[in-house]
Amino acid sequence: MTRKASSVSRRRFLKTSSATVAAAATCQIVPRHVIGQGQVPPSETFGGALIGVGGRGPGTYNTMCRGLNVKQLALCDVKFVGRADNKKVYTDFRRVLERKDIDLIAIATPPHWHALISIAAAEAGKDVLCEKPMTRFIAEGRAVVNAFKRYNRVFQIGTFGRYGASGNRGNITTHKIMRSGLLKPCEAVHIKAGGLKVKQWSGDPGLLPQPVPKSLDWDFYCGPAPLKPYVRPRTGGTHRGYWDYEGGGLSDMAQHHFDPIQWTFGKDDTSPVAIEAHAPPPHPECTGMWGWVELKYADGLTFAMDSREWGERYTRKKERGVSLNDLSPADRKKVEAMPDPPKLLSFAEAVKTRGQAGGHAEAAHRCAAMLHLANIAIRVRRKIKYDPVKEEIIGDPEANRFVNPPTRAPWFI
Amino acid sequence: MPNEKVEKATQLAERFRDPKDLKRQANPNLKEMTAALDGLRAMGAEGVTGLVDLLKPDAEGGDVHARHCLHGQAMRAGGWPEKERAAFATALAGTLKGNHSKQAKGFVIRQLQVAGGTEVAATLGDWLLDDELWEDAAQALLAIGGTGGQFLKALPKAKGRQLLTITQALGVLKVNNAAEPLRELVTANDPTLRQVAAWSLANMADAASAAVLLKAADTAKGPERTKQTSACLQLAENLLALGRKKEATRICQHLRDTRKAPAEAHIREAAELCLKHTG
Repeated sequence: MTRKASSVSRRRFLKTSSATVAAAATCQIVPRHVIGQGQVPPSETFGGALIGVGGRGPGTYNTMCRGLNVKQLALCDVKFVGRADNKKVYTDFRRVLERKDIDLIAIATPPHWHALISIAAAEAGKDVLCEKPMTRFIAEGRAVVNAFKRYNRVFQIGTFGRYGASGNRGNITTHKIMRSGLLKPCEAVHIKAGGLKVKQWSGDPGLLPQPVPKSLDWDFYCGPAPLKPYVRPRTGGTHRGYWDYEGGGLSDMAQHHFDPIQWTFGKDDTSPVAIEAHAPPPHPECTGMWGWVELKYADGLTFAMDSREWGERYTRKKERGVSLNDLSPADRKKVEAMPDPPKLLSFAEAVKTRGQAGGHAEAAHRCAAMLHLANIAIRVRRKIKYDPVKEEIIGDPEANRFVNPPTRAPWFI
Repeated sequence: MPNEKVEKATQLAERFRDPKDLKRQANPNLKEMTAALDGLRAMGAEGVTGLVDLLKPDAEGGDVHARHCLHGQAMRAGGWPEKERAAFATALAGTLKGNHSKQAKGFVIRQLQVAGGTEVAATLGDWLLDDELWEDAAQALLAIGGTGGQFLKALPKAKGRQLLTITQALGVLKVNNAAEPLRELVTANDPTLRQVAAWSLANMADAASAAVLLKAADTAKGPERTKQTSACLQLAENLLALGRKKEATRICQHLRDTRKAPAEAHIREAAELCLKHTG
């Protein structure tokens, strides 16, 4: 899990990383493309880079390296103004991606950059491990999926609960029942109550603009998001509380929680169709409090989030699982005869075999989309209906604007 | 506006949030907030203009209630009957003619991004060449959709970052009759503009741009070559989706046959994959 990896302090990571990067610059790494795409270099050494060297940087980079021999060749962050030498330390990710000796990219920027950098990395032929949440809005996720399919690259999201979940016999049975399509209607309900850091990761409204630090390229930091006056909480972890960059504790923490649940209930390739929330009027800039969100899939499966931090508790439905007893004897036999789902590949296994990582782009996108839909329902405060194939909100053009909001030029997906 | 109306709007906005709770929105009072929004809605256009009058420049601050309240109403307006939503948006857009600060106007435009419709497109179009508010106006027009005419009108006079914004917007909205001027921008001096123009042409599936885009990709270096090549592949995929197999095949064959370097093997593979779909 990423949490363990982050036990290395950021300061210590940066100190050792700089030394590693300097050492790596003096020895020759045979990049993967020299011997052909999809082949492991003779030294089995990969060139690695970290883009976004903030609080989650060390954890994300170290997780990417697990099971692989990786030499760190570059560190990149928009806060390195005045420090960048464009050999080891960069401010512009595009210059990192240009390097032919770099194979693997760890992305730990704020989420409004995740999709754009992931896509650019795929276009440059790199494999990616990207911190969660995967995206800032739904359409970005689809663009990432398309890019990684087009270039046949490996994408892994930075949350790993599904690896444990997919090894549990009970979860495997649930997965098989759900994937069989024999359970109609599905009355299962999963409720996540508390632990979503709603207040902790709400933004501070009404702060007055502050001078931009000299070490920060603020325009580049904002990137595809609107260029707003600088206030310190918009950076450095508290960015989570601003709609321009993320969706509060819900998008951040809930991808950890729902990623394995989504696998267990066999929903890696679809999205909820009806979403409803209990929340106060939203702030224009900052994420804020909410009570609960209910998300229903087409087959009847219900996921709910209860913040336990504001307003009414979620009482509409009670937690309910799925079992073979829900099926007729004939259908039960069919499910029991189904083979177990294939083992999920780790990022390292996927990179070496050119297979699909367990936390692949489509699954990560579907999970992030669920959380974005929850936030849209919180913001518009009316029931929304979603088409999981067209990936559009139905019959509510104003709510649908949040599915694919405009990006600031020259950044496009 | 009569002072009493402004005062009423002020009172309603102040009910919107507990002043003790300004730092974090720790305990919003749903009942009070709903009553405030209902009261403002009942005031019609005066409820809108009264709130806008409370907006202050960013550096001054102190208008957090008014901003929160106006945004809350804009988000609700999307769920109102169409006639009422349009009246709300029209009243909001009308304040852009007033003497409010540029930052206040920027905030108003961002609320039109949420609640506006085609009824405010022409008003927003007037701001596309404004030195401070062009990005806000562009984003609002893009969110509203069907607003290509506004961008096309602004294109000849746009320069610098405004030109980038408008070029990208024409691609997002797939304004095919902008293809000719955009093709010229693929050979502009500014590499960023070249990339944005190529992406826009690819996004609008402009078959006539295939040769221009391939040439740009073949001659570019570094990250620009990667992006221009990506635009070519995207154009091929978009043409394929429209059933124009012949043009898509030509693009993919070119990329397959010219991307020989080991570092571009993935481009070759992507082109081959696309060719499989062309049959």
